[in-house]
Amino acid sequence: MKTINWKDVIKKAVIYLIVGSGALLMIVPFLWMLSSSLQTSHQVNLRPPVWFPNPPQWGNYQRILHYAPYFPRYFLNNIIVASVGTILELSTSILAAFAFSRLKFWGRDVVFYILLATMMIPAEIMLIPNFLTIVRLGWLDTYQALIIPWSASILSIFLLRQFFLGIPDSLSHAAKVDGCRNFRFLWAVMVPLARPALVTIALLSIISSWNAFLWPLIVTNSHNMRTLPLGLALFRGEAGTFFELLMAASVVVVLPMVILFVIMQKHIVASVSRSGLKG
Amino acid sequence: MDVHLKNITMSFQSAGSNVIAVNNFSATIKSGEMVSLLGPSGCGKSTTLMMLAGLYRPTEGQIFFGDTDVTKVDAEKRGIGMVFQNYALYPHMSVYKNIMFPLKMMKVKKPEANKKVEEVARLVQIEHLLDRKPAQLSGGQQQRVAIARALVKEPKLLLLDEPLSNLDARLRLETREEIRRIQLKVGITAVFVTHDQEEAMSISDRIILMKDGLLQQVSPPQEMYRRPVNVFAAEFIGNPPINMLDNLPDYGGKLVGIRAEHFHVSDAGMFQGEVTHMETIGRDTLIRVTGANGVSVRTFADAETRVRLGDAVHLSVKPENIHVFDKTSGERVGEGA
Ligand SMILES: Nc1ncnc2c1ncn2[C@@H]1O[C@H](COP(=O)(O)OP(=O)(O)O)[C@@H](O)[C@H]1O
Ligand SMILES: [Mg+2]
Repeated sequence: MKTINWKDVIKKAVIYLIVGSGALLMIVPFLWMLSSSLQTSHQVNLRPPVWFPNPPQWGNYQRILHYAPYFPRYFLNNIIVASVGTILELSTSILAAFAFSRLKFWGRDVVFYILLATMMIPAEIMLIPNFLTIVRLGWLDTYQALIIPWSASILSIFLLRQFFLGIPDSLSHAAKVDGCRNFRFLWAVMVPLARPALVTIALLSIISSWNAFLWPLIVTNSHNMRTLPLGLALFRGEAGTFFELLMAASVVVVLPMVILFVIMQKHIVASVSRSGLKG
Repeated sequence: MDVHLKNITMSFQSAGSNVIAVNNFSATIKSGEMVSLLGPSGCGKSTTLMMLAGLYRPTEGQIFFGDTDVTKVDAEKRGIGMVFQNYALYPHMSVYKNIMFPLKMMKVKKPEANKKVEEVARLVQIEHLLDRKPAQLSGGQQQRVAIARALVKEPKLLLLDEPLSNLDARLRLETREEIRRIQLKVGITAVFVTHDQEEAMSISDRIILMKDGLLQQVSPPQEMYRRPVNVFAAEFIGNPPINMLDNLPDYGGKLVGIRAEHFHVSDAGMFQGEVTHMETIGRDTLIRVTGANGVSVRTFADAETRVRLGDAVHLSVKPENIHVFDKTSGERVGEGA
């Protein structure tokens, strides 16, 4: 006869309850955003909130362009800044991590630890010096200003260096014997092996650049150079906030990241569990 | 291609102190022969091999491939093949790509490269595994892939660093025969590093014996067994280990080494004592005979003598099988009389 193990059932129930409510907590703001983006300006301000607007106001998405005609340009800028920035960050991380893990030069570890120590400086402190540098370079309101300051990240270098250190020496010896010099070895062996770590780094980089607000705000002033998070601010005027439009625009901003996560889901899990973010 | 090592010294700077891994080491490896570098762990075998490969640069001394001084030539340009203890296969590449890798680095044309990969795969008998990733192979199969990768570019010198130590006992025996078969078939000059004397004895044309970075003896296996040049060589080679006796009547001030199989149980002999231990392994019965002064020796008992535990026996030995060493220097001074 089959007996029901009540202890197991209760244990399972509790786990599902905790995980489920966590998931709910995460998803409710998204659903609210989605719902609000389809409401009329009257409905968004109602208490208790309307969850299922009828009929849905798809027109809100068209009205984004009316209030913020540069929105497509912001979108393009975001894509340019995030992709170029990420490619640059990956390149600098790979090269720096290679140097700090494989090449032997005087003062290597000291330099690395000094770099590591700079992670403890709050980003806000760097804001003004970085801004002044950009001004002196004459880069205000350019893509360089948006991209270059973020094209290297100590955290990424650190993550990748730890990963590289885990690759056994014998592999680089084998490669040398096989006729493969340093840089070839880096591209042919180390980089493919480090793919999980690189995926992690790329995602962190894309997200932070996609969502950046303060830095783009202070280094850009023309519509041609502004980015999506700044664009969202346009819906909060002195006359009040157009919440339904703000929410529709937010959906547009968030959607690419959601899609990215859905696509990369497997890799993210693999990278976190394999690279273990062990640093 | 003959390989010459001339007065090679390698010292490492580690934690402020200076470790001399290889000390004024000279040897010649003749074309087409398989030489074992034998010695206990930490004696500098791998370091020597790394210098032959060009992965380490010797602190002093020179290395010649034929008449060419390659001391300052990088590993990439030495054109050698190497097999590592942990195989060091590229984990993200298929077996095929692993073997192809050295050819790709040499920019060998695709059709020719394909042919070479297939040939060498047939030689080491892994044709059926070419599509797999290293992680999907057993240790023995990975070993074969590593050998194939080392051989595919037809190097003049093959270096193997303890290639069998990660295999289980049965596979080790098989693979060792396999490596020898391949080496003879290809006719390649090979250096085989091992700490296992039996492995070295069975596989090589000559053995180079090392201890603490110093060369001890270079000779063919049987000669190293029959005429060890010092106490270390006598004790390192042979299983069970050689019996070392001190203060024997006719050998005052000398150390005397006698191998277990050279003692014979007989009516009279130079050593007498009581059988204190017996064990039968397969066809051999190993006995331990303890003399009145507490000194004991190991030897084998013949099936017909029928010794039993507790028997008093005499052990005789032929004079030519007695190795006599100086007690202070440990050097061989001659045979028994
Ligand atoms: N890269 C290194 N740095 C410092 N010491 C080393 C290095 N490689 C080897 N040694 C030292 O050199 C000696 C010989 O090492 P090795 O050649 O690996 O011995 P074996 O292969 O015979 O076991 C050892 O004492 C080892 O600690
Ligand atoms: Mg070793």
